[in-house]
Amino acid sequence: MFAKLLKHEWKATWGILGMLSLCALGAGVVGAVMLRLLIDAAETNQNNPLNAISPSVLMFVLLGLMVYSVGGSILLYFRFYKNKFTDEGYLTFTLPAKSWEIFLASLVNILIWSVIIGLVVCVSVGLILVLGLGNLVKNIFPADAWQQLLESVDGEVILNLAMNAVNAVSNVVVIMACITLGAVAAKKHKLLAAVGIYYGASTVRNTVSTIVMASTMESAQTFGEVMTVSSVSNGIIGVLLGVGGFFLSVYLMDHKLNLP
Amino acid sequence: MDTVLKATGLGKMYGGFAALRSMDLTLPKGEIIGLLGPNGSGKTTFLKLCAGLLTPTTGTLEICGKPVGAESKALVSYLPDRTYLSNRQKIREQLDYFQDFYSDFDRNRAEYMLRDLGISLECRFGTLSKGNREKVQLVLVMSRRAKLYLLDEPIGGVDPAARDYILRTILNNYDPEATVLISTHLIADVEPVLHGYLFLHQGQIVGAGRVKQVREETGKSLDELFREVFRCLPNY
Repeated sequence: MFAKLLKHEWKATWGILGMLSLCALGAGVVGAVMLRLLIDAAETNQNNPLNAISPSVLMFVLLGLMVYSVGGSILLYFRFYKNKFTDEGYLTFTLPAKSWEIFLASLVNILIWSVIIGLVVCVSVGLILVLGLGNLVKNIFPADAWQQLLESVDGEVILNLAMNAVNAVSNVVVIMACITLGAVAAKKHKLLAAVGIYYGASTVRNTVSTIVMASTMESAQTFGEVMTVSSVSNGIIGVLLGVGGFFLSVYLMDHKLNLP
Repeated sequence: MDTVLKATGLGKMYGGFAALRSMDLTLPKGEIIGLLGPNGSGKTTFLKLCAGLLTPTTGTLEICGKPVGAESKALVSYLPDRTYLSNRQKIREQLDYFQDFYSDFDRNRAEYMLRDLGISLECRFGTLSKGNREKVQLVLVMSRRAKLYLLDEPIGGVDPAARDYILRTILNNYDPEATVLISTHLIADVEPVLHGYLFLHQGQIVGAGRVKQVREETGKSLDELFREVFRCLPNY
């Protein structure tokens, strides 16, 4: 049942997000051309009519990529809300599936799309830099830049990356849990309630992280040690919030569902 | 098993308000039963409990001997009193959806009924008229070979011709092994298709019986009996 739910989550989102992703990649190419024109104009002092608009277009491309990454996420969370807690929920929650399967399918779909959106933004920015800068890119990123980067990877870096990944997943679960709680608890303005709950949860989370970091700074010998302890504690908080958010959401869907 | 639905001491509270009060009910298979009552009598709450959309505050509820949950949902075909399909989806995609999730969904039957209605599978649901949207939902729900059909106000808000179509669809697709529970306050319209009735008032069953028996013993229609019973009740 989980596989079927995931398949239909994907089917419901791939059309619009796929199109937006293609647009974002296209915007990357346009941005690269505009950057190339700007650089050519600076190098040759030639007056091309496109030079007048290329800085604005480049700015719009970068703005567009930001909108794409934020908007894509908003679309996914809105789909979660609409499919579960509006009239469409009457179909979703009468499917012969368990609530955890329904929640998990949405979570996995959001995570897959978050990775795709992240990759598309990286590729678009990469296109702007590599195609736009041309040979200049070699000056900014020397040929052995990747090798240097890889050589600098040690246990601490891997730990930090792992903790960041845990926190990213946990954050998605927490947002979904806040949407669930807002939809169940509020009689009106359910999305506004969800935003308020998320704001409150983030404040509590940040306060706890700050307290942990401050207490570590007193006993730690080096800055690196502070960062590692902070990273691990954030990861642990992330896991606790993620697991808590998951079970809270499933409990609310099972026992407190309050469809309009 | 002859019992399709069994409720024991079933109650549902919304805060301090009792929507259902200690309801005891057993429904046999092979019946079309009208769940009749005024607005706010608990009809929709009861159907939502049976569909697994609400959790009872007190008591137990079983569908074909199974407690309400994922297993019972596979046996229940529920039509809510609102549009619950995605407006953006094509009818074909909605058929795919039902086919994927419900092993008892008869796609050929659904496609036949949609063709009969002149609704193209390539239409987007949101582009259909209100009446056609209601019909499509009913077609999807009635194309399942479920054990229990829960139809919440299936003829509310549609024109008389659409009402006839809907009632005809329920009758034509009615499986003698299944039970159909129809909630409505348009009693005169549904009366010809009903075998039994349940009168609900303030979350309690205040009357139940066979429609044929009412006609034979009292010479009244169900609609007349309903008016008579509810006129005598407090707060009505």
